[in-house]
Amino acid sequence: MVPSFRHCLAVVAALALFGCGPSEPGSSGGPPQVRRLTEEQYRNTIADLFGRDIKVAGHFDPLNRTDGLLEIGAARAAITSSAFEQYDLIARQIAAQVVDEDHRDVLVPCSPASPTGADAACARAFFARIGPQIYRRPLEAKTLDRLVEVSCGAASSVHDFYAGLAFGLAGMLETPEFLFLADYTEPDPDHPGQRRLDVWSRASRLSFLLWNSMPDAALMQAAQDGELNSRRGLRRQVERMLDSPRLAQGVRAFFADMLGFDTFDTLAKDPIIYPAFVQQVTDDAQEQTLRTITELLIAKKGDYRDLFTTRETVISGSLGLVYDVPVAKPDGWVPYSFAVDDPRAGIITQLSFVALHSHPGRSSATLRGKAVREIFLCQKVPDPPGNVNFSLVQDTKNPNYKTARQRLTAHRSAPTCAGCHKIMDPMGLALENFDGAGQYRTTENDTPIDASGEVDGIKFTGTAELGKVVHDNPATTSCLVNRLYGYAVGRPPAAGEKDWMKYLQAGFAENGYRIPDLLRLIATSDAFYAIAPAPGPAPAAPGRSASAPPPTGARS
Amino acid sequence: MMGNGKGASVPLSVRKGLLIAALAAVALLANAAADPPRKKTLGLAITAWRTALYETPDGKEECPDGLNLGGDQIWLATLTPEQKDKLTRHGTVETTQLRDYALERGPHGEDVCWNPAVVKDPPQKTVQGKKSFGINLDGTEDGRATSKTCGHEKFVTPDGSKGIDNQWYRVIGCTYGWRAAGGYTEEMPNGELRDGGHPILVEITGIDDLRNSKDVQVAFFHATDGMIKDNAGRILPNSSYRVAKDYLYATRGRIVDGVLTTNPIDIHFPFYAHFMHSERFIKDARLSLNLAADGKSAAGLVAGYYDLDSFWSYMARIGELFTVAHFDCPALYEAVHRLADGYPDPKTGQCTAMSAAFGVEAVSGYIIHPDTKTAGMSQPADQVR
Repeated sequence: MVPSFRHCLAVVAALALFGCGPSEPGSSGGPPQVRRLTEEQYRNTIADLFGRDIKVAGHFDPLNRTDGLLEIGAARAAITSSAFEQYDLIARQIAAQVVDEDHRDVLVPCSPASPTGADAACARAFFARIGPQIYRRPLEAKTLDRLVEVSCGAASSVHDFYAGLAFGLAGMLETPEFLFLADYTEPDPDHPGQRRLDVWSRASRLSFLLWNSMPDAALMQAAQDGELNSRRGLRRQVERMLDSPRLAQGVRAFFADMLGFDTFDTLAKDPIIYPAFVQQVTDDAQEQTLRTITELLIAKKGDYRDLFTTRETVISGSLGLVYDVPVAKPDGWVPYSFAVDDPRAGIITQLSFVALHSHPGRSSATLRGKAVREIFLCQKVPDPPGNVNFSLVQDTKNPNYKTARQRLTAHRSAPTCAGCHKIMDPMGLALENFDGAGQYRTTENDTPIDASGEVDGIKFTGTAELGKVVHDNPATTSCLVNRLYGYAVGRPPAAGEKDWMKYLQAGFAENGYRIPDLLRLIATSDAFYAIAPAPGPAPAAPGRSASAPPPTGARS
Repeated sequence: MMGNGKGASVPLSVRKGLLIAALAAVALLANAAADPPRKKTLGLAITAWRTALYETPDGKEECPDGLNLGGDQIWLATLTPEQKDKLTRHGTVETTQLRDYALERGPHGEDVCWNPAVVKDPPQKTVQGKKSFGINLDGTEDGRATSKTCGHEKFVTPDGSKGIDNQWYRVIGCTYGWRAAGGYTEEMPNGELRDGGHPILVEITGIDDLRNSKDVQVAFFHATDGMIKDNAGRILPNSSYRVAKDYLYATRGRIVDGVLTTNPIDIHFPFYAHFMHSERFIKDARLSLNLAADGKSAAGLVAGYYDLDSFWSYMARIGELFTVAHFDCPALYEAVHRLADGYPDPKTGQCTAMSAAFGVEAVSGYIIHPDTKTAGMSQPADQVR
C-alpha cells in the first residue's frame, strides 16, 4: 500500500507542477518574425527606459491590419524614408530630454569631467547601462566602443558632453534592433537540426505579449541566467508577469488591436446629427470598453464569453451624455451597472462598437453585422461587388423604407447582395436600437424599430439577447484563441500547429474561458517559442544575419 | 342555504367564489392604493441668465432721451478744454485710458463706485415706456405702497398682462452694457458659465406629468461640475452634476400647461462674472419656466426683489467696466435707491430691494446628490427622460 500511496503523491506533485490536462502536442512552430514596434509599444518602452515624463511627441506610420490584427501586419511592415524622418525627429527629441538638466542627474549614471567636452569613461558608463535595455539583449564590446567613439566625437565638435550623449542615444533609438522585434534563433539542443528562439528573443516575445513593453530587469536577468530555457524557470517568470499590474497593459493592447480601436483615430460623426458625440466621447468610449475588459477578465478573472452579456461597466461624464444616464462622479470614472431591463448588455452594445461600426451620419446594420462576424467569430465576410447600387440603403428619408430593416430587405432583393447580407444583417439589425452615435432609440423616422432576428438558427427578440447568441456561439471562443495566439507570435497559426490550436482551445474551455489562464498556457508552452525549420538561411533582423552583432546604432 | 334578504339564496360554493372574488378586488384596490402612479423628477441646469429687457429696434419707445453715458464720458464733459488737453497729453492719450482718473474722482480721490454718494452726477436715464417683461410681485394693480413695498409705477407685458413689477428694468433698460447690442456685462458671465462654469441647478420632483402637475417640489442647488458643450458650442443636455453642500433652497410649485410656477423664496444665486465669484440675492424669488415637452430644455423668468446691498457689492467691483458698458456709478446708485420698491427699512422707509426679472435658459441634467451613494450604479427610474 505504501509504495502505491507514494506513487500517487508523486503523480499529484507532477500534476501540480505541470497541469492536469493532456500534455502539449507537438507543434511545427512558425517562421521567425521581424515585427515593427507598434506606436504603443514604442511609447511603453520609452517610458520603461526613461520614465513617463519623457514625452514622445508625434505619430508613426500606421500599420496595416492583416488577418484581423495590426500585430500580424507589424510583421510585414517596413519603414519608408519619409516615415524614418519621423522616427529620427522623435528619437532626437527623446534623447534631448534624457540628457537635459531635469533628467541627467537621474538617467546619466555619472558626471563628466567637463560638461563642455568629451568624457569617454562617463559616456561608456551611460551606454553600457542603457544599451542592453534598448537592444533587449547584451551589447557587444565593439558596439559599445563605437557608441562611445561617436558620442565623444560629437561632444568634441559641439563642445557639449550631453549633446554628444544625446547624439549617440538618438542613433540607438533609430536602429532596426530597437524599432523591430526580431526573432533571433539558435540551434535547439533538444531537437538536433532544428532551431529555437534564443533567450533574449524569448524574453522579448514574452514581455511584449504580457506587458506590451520591453523586458524588465528581472526578465533580462532570467534570460542572462538561462532560466527561460528551463520549464521551471520559464513558469516562474510567467507567473510573476501574470501577477503584475502590468498585465492589464498587455491585455488592453491585445483587445484594442482585436477590436480595431486604431480606427477611432479617423472616426468622425456629423456634429449636427450627433451633437453629443464630442472628442472626449471618442476617447472615453475606447477606455470604457478596455476598462470593462480588464475588470472582468483580469480583476475578476471572469469568463471571456461574459464580455458579451455583462451589464457591469464603468462610465464617465461625457459618456453619460450619450448613454443618457446619471454619472456619480462626472470628472472621473465610476462603476456603472445597466439595469436588467436595459437594452445594453455586453461590449457590442457599448459605444466603442456601435458608434465605431456606423457611418458618420447614420447607423449601419451591415457594418455592425460584418464586424460581429469578423471580429468576434473570425468569419470573413466577402467585400461587396464593385457594381452594387447603395442608393436605397443610404436614403434614410425614403418614405417607403423608413427603417434600416425595410431598406435592407429591399436591397437584399438583388441576388448579388443577398448572400452576404443574409450573413451580416440579422446581427446588425439587432443593434438598430442604437443610432450612428450609439445613442438608444426606439424608432427611426417615427417607425418602431424591430430588433428581433435569427442568427445561425437561434432566434432572439432584441438587442440584449444578441449578446447571449454571441456568448453561446462556439466560434466565439475558438476565434479568441486564434486571435490571441496570432497576436502572440505575430502571424496566423501555421498549418503544423493544428493540434496545438486544438489543445489551446480545449485548455481555454477547461479553465473556464479565463484569459490569464490562456495566456499562461501560451506563455509556458514549447509551441510559443518554436521555430519552424527554414528551407533557406536562418531569418534575421534587417540588414544582418542572425548571428552577426547588432550595428553600432551611432550616426556616421 | 343563505338568504339574501330578498327571498333568494346563494349556494355555498358560489358564496365562496364571491368571497374570493371580493377579497381579490379588495386586494387589487389595496395594491392600487399602496402603489400610486410613480412621480417623476426633472433636473435642469441654468445655461444663461440675462436681465429681462423689453427693447424696441430704435429704443425710442422705452428710451426717448437716449442711452446713458459712461462715467468717464460724464466726467470728461465736466473738464475745460485746457484740463482735457493736459490730461490727454495734447490728445496723444486715448480718453478710455483715463479710466482710473474717472473712477477716482471723489473730492479726496475716492473711487466713485465704492463710494457712489461722494459726487453728484446727472441722473440716470431710466425707461419711460410702459411695457416690460416680468411678474406682478406685490399683487397690486397700481403699485401703491404696501407694508412690503414702496410706491412705484407698474408695467404691462408686451402681450398685455398688467401689474408687472420690474424696477430693475426701469433703472438699467437704457444702459448700453445691458441692452442686446452691448450686453457685455451679462454675456461675459454667460460665456464663463458655458466654458465650464458651475451652473445653478433646478430639481423639480413630484411631477405627475410635464404638462400639468398640481404640486411639485422645486429645489435649487449650485453644481460643482461644469457643463459640457457640443462642437458648435451649445450646452449638451443630460450631463451629470454633483451639488455643492451650500446653496440649498427648496420651495413648492405647480405646472400648468407646461409652465412651472413656484412659490416665493429668498435665494442667493451664485455666479462667476468678470473674474470674480459673486451672488445675486433675490428675495421672494419665483420661477416661471416653460418646460419643453421632451423635458430636455426650459426657458422663462426668475423674478423677485433684487437686494440692493447684494447688487451694489457686485457693481462696486465691476465699476471699472463703465467705459465699455456705459454706466455711471453715482447716477446708477442714486437711481436704484430712488426707484427701489421692495422691503422698506422699518426705520427710514427707504426700500432696500428692487423688483426685477431675469430671463433664464436651461437644459436637462442629472443631479447627483452627495448622499446618493449608488448614483451612477443604476439609473433612477423616476427620471423624466
